[in-house]
Amino acid sequence: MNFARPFTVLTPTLDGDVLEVLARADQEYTGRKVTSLVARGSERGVRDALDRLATQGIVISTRAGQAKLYRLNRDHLAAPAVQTLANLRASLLERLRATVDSWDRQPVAGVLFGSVARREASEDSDLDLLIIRPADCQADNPKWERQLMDLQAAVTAWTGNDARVLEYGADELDSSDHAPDPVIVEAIRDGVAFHGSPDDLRRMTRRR
Amino acid sequence: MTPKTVNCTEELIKGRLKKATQFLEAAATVHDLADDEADVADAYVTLCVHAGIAAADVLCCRALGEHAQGDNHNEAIALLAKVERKLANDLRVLLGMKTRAGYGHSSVNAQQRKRAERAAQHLVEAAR
Repeated sequence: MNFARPFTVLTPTLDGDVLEVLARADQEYTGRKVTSLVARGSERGVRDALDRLATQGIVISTRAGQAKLYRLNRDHLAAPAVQTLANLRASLLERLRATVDSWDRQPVAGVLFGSVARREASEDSDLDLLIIRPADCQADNPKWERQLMDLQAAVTAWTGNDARVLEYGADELDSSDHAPDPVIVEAIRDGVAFHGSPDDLRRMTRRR
Repeated sequence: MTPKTVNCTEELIKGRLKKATQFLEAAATVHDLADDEADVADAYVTLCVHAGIAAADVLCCRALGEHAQGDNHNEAIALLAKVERKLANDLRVLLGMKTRAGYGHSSVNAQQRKRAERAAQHLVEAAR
């Protein structure tokens, strides 16, 4: 899926992008404001989409002098579905949290990083997960390996993106005699932790 | 999410098996010629990864008549899991190392080297 344009899961049209913008906040927007937030299509195209959606009742349109104001109708039967689609990245993080929390062998940390974490991922992007294995768990521990294999397959099925687990042992993070790998630095800087916290990673990679 | 696959011919199977064996033998040669195995660890693991990928293609060809094509790791792993899940895990281990090599600058350690060797050997032995 395209994490930058989550509604493309259902529709490639501007209507989806417009709904995604309106779902961000419970407030009224002018057509011009929606156009600038959608960042694609013409103002005329966005206004047409807003009017089409208002006809369906999912968007409420009101007049303020010469201007028309639009907001998402959060009482509409379809509003929960719209909000779900607008928040697919958050849903992914919730599922990651729940899945990893249920593991018998818990990692030290789990971080979503890369283009999905930055909300820039298209449907062709890999989905990068950094998993830190505890020091007392061997990399070839069958239970541990099964967990990683299942996670990678599950995340690919949830999103359609090629999930790639980047595995490091906790003992490999000690950077007392070498700089940490750039990917660890990136995960600490831009990543979203779904298990443990970036502070845990920061502590583990601190030069002694 | 339609997996990209290629239909196999006998010629393709023979060619991929030859490559799998060649990569694994080259890995052993690199290892044997090094004064210190840590000096050639990255090259060794890269050859193991290539051996494992070629062997996985052979295994999928024989059982399914097709092998995965393209850069999608999970499609290749899922296809091999239809043949044997344990071998699919070996492929996952090797592709994970490939991903890590692409991201990092630190050399692989002795434990990872051993893990790559075992995974590649499992796959190539099964493909023979």
